[in-house]
Amino acid sequence: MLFNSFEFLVVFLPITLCIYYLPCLRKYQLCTLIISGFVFYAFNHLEFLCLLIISAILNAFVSFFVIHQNDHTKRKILALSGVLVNLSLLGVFKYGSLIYQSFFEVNPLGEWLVALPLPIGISFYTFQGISLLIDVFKKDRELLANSNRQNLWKHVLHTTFFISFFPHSIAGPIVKAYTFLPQIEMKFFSDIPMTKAFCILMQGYFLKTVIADNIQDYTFWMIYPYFLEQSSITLLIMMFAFSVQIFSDFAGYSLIAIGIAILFGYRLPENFNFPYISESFSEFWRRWHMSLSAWLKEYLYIPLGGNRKGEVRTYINLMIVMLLGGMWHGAAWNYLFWGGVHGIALAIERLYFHSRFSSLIEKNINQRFLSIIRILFVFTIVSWAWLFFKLPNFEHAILYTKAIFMNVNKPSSFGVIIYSIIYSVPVLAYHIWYLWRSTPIVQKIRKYRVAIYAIMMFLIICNGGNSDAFIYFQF
Amino acid sequence: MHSFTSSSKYSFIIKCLIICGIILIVYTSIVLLIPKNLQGGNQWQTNIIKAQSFAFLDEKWDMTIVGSSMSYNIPVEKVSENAFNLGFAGGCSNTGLEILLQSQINDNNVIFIEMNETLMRGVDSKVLNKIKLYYENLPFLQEINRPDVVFIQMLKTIKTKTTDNDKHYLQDRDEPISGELIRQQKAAANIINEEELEKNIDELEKNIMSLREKGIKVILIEPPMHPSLFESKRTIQVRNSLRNRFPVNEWLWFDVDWHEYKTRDGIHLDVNSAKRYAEKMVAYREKVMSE
Repeated sequence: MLFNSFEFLVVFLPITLCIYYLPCLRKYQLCTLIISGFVFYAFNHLEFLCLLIISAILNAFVSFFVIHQNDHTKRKILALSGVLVNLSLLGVFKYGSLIYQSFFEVNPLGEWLVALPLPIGISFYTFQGISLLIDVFKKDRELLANSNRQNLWKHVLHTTFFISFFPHSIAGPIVKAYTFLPQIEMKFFSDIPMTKAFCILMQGYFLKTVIADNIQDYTFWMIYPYFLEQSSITLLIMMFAFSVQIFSDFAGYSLIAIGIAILFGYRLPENFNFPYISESFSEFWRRWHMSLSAWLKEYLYIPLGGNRKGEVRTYINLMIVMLLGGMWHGAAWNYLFWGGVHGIALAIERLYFHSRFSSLIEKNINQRFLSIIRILFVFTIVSWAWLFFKLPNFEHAILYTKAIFMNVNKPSSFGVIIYSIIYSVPVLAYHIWYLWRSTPIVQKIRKYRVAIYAIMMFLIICNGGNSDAFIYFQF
Repeated sequence: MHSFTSSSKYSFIIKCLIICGIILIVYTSIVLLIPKNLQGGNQWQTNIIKAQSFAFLDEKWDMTIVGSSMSYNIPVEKVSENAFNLGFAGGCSNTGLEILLQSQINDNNVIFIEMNETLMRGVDSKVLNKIKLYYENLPFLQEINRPDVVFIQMLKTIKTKTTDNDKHYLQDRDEPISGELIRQQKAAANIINEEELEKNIDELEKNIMSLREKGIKVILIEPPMHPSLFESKRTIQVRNSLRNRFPVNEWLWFDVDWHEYKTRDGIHLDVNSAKRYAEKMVAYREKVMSE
């Protein structure tokens, strides 16, 4: 079910909210949300529901035994086995086909793997399962452990809810067990911060339906072979427009998820923090898909040694994290390459900031000018790297890059250019709003916040695009 | 990212709803007064606008053409006032047929159905969804009244006052596009999976038979293409299957000498050819109705 679908907005959400807050059913709030999570997931993907349930229950049982096992070695083995099972699920369903097609000869098992459909949201709920196991393994997560020590049934209920909670089960934000489980308690309708939820939902729906869903009609021409006939300017504009689209699509989805979670009394972590104002790649990764970055940092980069084991090891760790982060997005070598591009960019940036050249530039060039140049540079490279998302065939992405330089004399598609710019302006304004948030002009505009949200609502109603999915659903 | 301060629990939301309601009423009142044509900002918008115009406006047409961009490109509505072009860029005949089956059709309406490999594209559910739900009929939800469509139409109105507007809406450029022809030739060299083809023809046949049962006259057409495509492996395969299922002695086929027509990219007729083809279609309809 999609957050912007008729059945979700008019049927599913109101019914779930009513049942959830009914005083007579209050003690069944968790069961309501677990069942609604399964219904939400199964609505379009009934065949994958079993996998979600198996993953949730398996993680619930393993984590329970990890909590209650006193022998450290046994706890470690249990937690590690659970993590391996999670990774195996991901490996079979997501990467089995790619591994078979890349490295093995034709055989029945391989053909079976190729035929396996990709269960929606598997990357997200698997990572949450891993987070649960690691968090309960670490004794310092007292809050988590204490709240669920009592009995197996309660623990299974809590952890199944943690994994299947519908606002985040399909496309995040990826929640860490120790930040989510302590929030589980009885909720009351009167406690909902309505204005906050409303504003977040409006921002989310605006980004998704008005920006992303409309821009996609113009970035459609980026696919092979259509881009071959486009001019250099059109190709460049479309490349940047896709950057805006993917941001609006995913940030929009995350905001809607956060807003809906608030309606049920839960806080999900923020996923985006104006990523396109980043002056460096490391800053970009602190602002883009923050829940994944934080997950990778906590459960991969730091256990690998982070930057504590010398310069060379730091660079290796960076590359490992970015390559695996790339592969997390999809079972195609393109994603690995995309991760590699970001890994190399982070490594070069680290080298640059540690060099004398960097301090020389800092001293001699105007800071504001330097900031603008950095923002534009990071945005351009990030946008170029998104080509490997848009064009899953590696050769096509390279062809697109070549066409940017070669198609100088081809006629431009003004419709594509004008609309791409029109729909990019609100996202640009959104970022500028944040950059200038303390200036008097933004403070003045803030007074008209009601009107701005009313216009956003009007555009969501009248000018929403035609969408069939969120980009990150494929991951 | 979503920083703000909350003053009262519901007052902000209520104010917002009231202002939004006022904007909606004012916008709808204004937009209904603006004259519009059936063109959107992109092909998908145009497809939905055409579908909604056909389904929601209670107009009685004498001639309707359904099909893909090849049909979309044939300006029948410029040749005959009572003709409606229900061809969809990137679409297929089945989408148009589904819309026809869900709409009130004039008994005199003769349906021209494009018969070629575009039937493999399947029904465009986005277009159909936009006419299925009753609330899509509300003026402010109709595609033609979207702010961005109104904006582009206003721009185009200004532009057409100063430029020659003789070209059909799809043909902003009429120079030959060789790259597209080469791509089409490559694709047409491969045949289609027979089972899938038959499945799609079954679907097409089901819709056509439903129309026939309603007493609607149906004429089958195969718009001309570039010779290299018209005689390609794939086109011949599809043509044979379609003509087997809809034999010439049982069905009306509007066949023309395709050597007389030129395309700009291999599959879409150029402006002159499209106009001549449309004129012949209208004349053929008259002939069929008089018999």
